[in-house]
Amino acid sequence: MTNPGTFPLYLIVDWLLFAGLVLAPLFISLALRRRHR
Amino acid sequence: MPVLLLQILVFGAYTLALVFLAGEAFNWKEDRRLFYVGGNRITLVPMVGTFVATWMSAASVLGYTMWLYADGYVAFTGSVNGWLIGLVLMPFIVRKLRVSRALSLPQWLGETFGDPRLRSLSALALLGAYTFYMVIQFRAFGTIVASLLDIKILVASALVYLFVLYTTFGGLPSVARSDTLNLSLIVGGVTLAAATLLGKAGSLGAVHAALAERAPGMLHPWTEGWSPLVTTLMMLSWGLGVAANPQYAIRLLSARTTRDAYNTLALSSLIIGLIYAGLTVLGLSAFVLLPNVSAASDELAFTRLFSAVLPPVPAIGLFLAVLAAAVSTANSQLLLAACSLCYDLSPREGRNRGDLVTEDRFLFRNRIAIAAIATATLILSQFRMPGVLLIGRYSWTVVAICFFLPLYVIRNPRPRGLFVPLSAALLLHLFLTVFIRLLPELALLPALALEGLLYFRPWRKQP
Repeated sequence: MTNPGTFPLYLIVDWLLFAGLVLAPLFISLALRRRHR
Repeated sequence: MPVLLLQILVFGAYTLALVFLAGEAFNWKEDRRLFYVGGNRITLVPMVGTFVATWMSAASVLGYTMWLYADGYVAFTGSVNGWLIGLVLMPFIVRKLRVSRALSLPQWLGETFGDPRLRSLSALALLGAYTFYMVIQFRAFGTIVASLLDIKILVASALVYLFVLYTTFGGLPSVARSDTLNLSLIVGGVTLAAATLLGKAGSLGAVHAALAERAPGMLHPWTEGWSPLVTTLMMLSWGLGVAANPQYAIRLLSARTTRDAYNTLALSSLIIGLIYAGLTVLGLSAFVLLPNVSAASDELAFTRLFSAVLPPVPAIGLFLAVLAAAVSTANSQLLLAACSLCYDLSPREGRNRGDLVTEDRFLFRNRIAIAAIATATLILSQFRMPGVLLIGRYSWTVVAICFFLPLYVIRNPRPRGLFVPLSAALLLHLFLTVFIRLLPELALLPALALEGLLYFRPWRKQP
């Protein structure tokens, strides 16, 4: 069982930033591809 | 089966697959466009393969994992998130690059600003940066193969030398083909090792609970030596450095269509994210299972640590992933270094495309240059000089100073308008790193600011 104190807020922010940075190129590329078609 | 025999068999199979794949890409009718940018005809799958495999260097797979093992989350925040900022910016330069018919980034820079001095300056920076960076790949590969096959590091480094030479001799088509194999090995090796280690450690929650109990400092995104400001600045400057790195930009030029270039970035970010997540699990779980492993170098500590915490098969898979990462990054950098030397820095031979015989001779000179640069790298990799790595980091930031502004910021290039701002930025960077002793990555930011200021001259009245 995960102790909630194990994942402090700044780690959650860190992982969310990571997820955002991984997904951003996907969405930006698809949007630019559509715009320039 | 004895572990050594298994390791020799796996290494032999990798060698054969590499020889077969790269050999298939050799072309009898080749010209410099085919050699440098695959004739601008690289399709989506090899594009993603070569983009991600080049991205994942030994510094990412081995260096990042060991940094995480030693210092915890500061490595994740500072380097992984920093590198990913560079990837986020890349889609914005696709159109800009795709309208050019250039074969190299120094050529693109020189032609965009109508200034041959920019081409020579940036080619020189690239040649230096890539030569020193290949030393890291050669060292990582040498140490791991030496441990895998129980041979001397020099013999193992000579093996990487041959691998890299062989795959680079065929130009970008051969690099791209071998990179597709290398990427499969990186993804497979890291995923298997991470899953095995997570199984042994319990779960991600258990790993973090153990860290919170035994080494709570590792859960902090910054340490005492790395304040939030320094961590953020390093993150930003690594991001800018990656974004301006010609080894990625040249791949966007090589794609068959603009659509393929965008799709490559979209798919690559997901695969890169998956690999980084796997490496993060590896570094943290390894610390929980076996803390305090140390050795004379990161490479030795890595082999010692993962041989101890992983069963033989996942361990071999992980070591093969490091080899694949080292080979795939080194061959790409070697090709670009040779291109800088033979194409961008040789005013007579490099500028105009001649007839078939001239073209053949030109490519022969390229192969000689590839062999010469690889030999210099092999020799440098045998000396354990920390200075080499510092020069590598220094030249890296110099490359970013050359390319970041023109690629991302300047919309309407002013003919011959960049040389003075660029030279001033390079001088400021030199001053800050040599006299003020600032880290090269941190000195990059004021240097870029000065370059932008001198180029745009906001104090001047607009006509």
